[in-house]
Amino acid sequence: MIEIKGVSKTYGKGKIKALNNINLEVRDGEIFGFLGPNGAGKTTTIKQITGILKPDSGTIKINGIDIVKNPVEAKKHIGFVPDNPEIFNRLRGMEYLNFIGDVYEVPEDERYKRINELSEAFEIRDALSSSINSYSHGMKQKLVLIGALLHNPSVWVLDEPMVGLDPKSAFILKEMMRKHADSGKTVFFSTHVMEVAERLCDRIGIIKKGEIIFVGTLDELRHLRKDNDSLENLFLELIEE
Amino acid sequence: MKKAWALTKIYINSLYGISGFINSFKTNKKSAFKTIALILLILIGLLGTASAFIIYNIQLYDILRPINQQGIIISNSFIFAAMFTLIFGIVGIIATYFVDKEGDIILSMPLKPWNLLFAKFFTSYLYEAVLSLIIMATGVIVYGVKSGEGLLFYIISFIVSLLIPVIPLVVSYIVIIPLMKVANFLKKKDVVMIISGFIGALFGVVIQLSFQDTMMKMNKNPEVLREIFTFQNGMVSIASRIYPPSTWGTYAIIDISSTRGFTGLMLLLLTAAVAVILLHCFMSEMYLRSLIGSTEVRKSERKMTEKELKMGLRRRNILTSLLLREIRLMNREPIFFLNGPFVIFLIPAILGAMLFIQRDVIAAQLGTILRYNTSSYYSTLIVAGMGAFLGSMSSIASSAISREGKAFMYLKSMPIEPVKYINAKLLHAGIFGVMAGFITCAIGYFLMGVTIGGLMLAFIISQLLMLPSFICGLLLELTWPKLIWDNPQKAVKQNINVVIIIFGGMIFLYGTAAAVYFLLKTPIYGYLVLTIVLAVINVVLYACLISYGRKRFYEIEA
Repeated sequence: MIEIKGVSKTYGKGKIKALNNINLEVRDGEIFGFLGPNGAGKTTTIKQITGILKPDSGTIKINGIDIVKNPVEAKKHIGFVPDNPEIFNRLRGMEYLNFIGDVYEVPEDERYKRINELSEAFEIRDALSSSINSYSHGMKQKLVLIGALLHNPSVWVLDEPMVGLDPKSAFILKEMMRKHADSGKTVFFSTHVMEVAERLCDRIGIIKKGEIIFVGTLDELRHLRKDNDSLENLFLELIEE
Repeated sequence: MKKAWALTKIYINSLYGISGFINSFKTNKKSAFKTIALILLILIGLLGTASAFIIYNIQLYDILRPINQQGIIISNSFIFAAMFTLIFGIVGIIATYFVDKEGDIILSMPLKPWNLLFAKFFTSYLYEAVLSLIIMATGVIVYGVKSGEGLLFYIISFIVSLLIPVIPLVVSYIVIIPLMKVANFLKKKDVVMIISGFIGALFGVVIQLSFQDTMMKMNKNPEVLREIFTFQNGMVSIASRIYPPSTWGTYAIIDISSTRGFTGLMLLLLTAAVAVILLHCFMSEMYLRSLIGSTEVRKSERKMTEKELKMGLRRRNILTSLLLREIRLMNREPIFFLNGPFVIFLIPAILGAMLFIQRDVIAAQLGTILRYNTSSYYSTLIVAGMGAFLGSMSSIASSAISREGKAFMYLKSMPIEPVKYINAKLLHAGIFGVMAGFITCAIGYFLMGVTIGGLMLAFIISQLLMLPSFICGLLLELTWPKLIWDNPQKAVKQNINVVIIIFGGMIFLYGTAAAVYFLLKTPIYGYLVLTIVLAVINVVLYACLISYGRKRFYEIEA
């Protein structure tokens, strides 16, 4: 579960307001889609949930643990995929995953089992001995995904996870997200692809200029707008207001 | 030519960030002042070294003036500038050979091969020209002031100084381009880049050795000696037997109004121009071919077996894992390696060669110290100082967080204890510090005859002496990390923290040396006090680092 209470964030010594008093609760057992135009504050929110950025005010709790007060413990519960998979390019795929395994204290047997399974599913097993530098964007995305899921975290935080994935891998990931939520755990992800959000999410949140302008199910959004249109049209209407 | 200039401007801005610097005056004054502070710091640091050369040249002038050989100051500076631009040229070319995304974007543009080579050549040249100007200034100013030269002398000196790096740079490109072509063919770009760095350093050392050897042999030859003392500045013409452009340049500077001076300038200009034209005519195609596909990396074609996967997935404690990651990331990135750990091997190679050649002079100087009957004490401390200097030159700690770049933010999302992260960084620097200690102990043993006991003491003191620079480097990195960069060079070469630690480290070593010389004259008392004081400094600094790092780690934002 992710609880965000009264979180604000400014950049440039308070000159640029990125987030303004946002409140959000992502429950156990749900897939939560986070939508918003470019520069609305999606990535800033995600960076604060994962402890990359410190909020100026407010609290963020992961499964009840405050990410600012107890960062190491809180982060153990999170599996995070950043929006840009350009990381540790000089390591080999396997070295990267082993490092992640060490950081999250994954036992050797479990580490082997999960890496074997996930790398087979995402079809990058044979590339694990190669340098990450030699990977395509999609392969890097898959590697980061495997790393994020290696310790079997209860909270998945995925920033644009489908970008760069081939259709088969995107399908597998969507299945995994569904399965994870159905087992009572949390999936929080941002996307620009409305179709994905429409099909996959139990609830969605829409952020605009650093403020949450809608949180609820798709039906609730349609009811609110008194319109039976697609999410894409509803989203466009909402953010243009 | 327009296209070549346009690309040159892009390279200059990408590598030196000049546009960004000018722009920061309007948008971010703090950043602009930081850059100015960095430039000033480099200049102050260089001034220290340059003043040593100036003092040496003043003394040399006074000795040579009565025998009319003072022109050797200019030819010395010329050869020195040419040698430095050659060594730094090779390393610099390697470091800037593949600009980020070049293979993907620039090669898709309608540019001729010579446009690409010219742009890169000119970008490297700028850096070399500054280096040449600084080195030449140490000789030109002394000669000019002492001889009461006019404005023309300085104008010609300026022109000649700008011409000096051209030939070494052309030679460097001729050596490097074929190597990079092979690297590209083998898809082993990184390995070849590192090997080229070693070849470059070796090349420089060999030239230096052969130059000094030739000069020594000439000084013993009666024919040469007669020539030196018969003609005014006869020694200058001797230098031409080793490197003819040095004579042309020297005569141009000291005697432009004469035929030999004017001819010298013309010859220098012509040779530089022909060298550049020939390079572009004959090497542009090969240069282009070395760039094509440079972003490709050889992938392992082999399928991984179950056993291999299992073997590769070994659980380690987090500190070991962080340390391994550190070492791999630094040593597999050629630019990080060449600007960091490589220095530990490069400097001793040059220093070792110099000490070997001048061992008689050094022995005589050590003899002066002998009058205190404490030679082993000072030799031990000299070895310790050299080790500390070498260790603090590696820039491992002072670029530790900047090297992470944007990935630092990703690391922050992981459950990593800041203390472990910092300790891994410190250990990484420490490992290469130990290597530096061993290397200088070897120099101390073979070239200075320091005893085993003395070497053990020197090793311990060297580690205690370099540790403050590692800790201060990490403190600076935690405070001002440079995480946004498009070229790895910016994390090391253009990082203010690296510059502060290199020059700050030198000041700390000079200060310690002065304190030892004036206050700690007896060995046992000296060793004891030095060890205790340094240990206390290190403990205090480490406590500050941990206390600050624990909090600061979470506050760093890109």
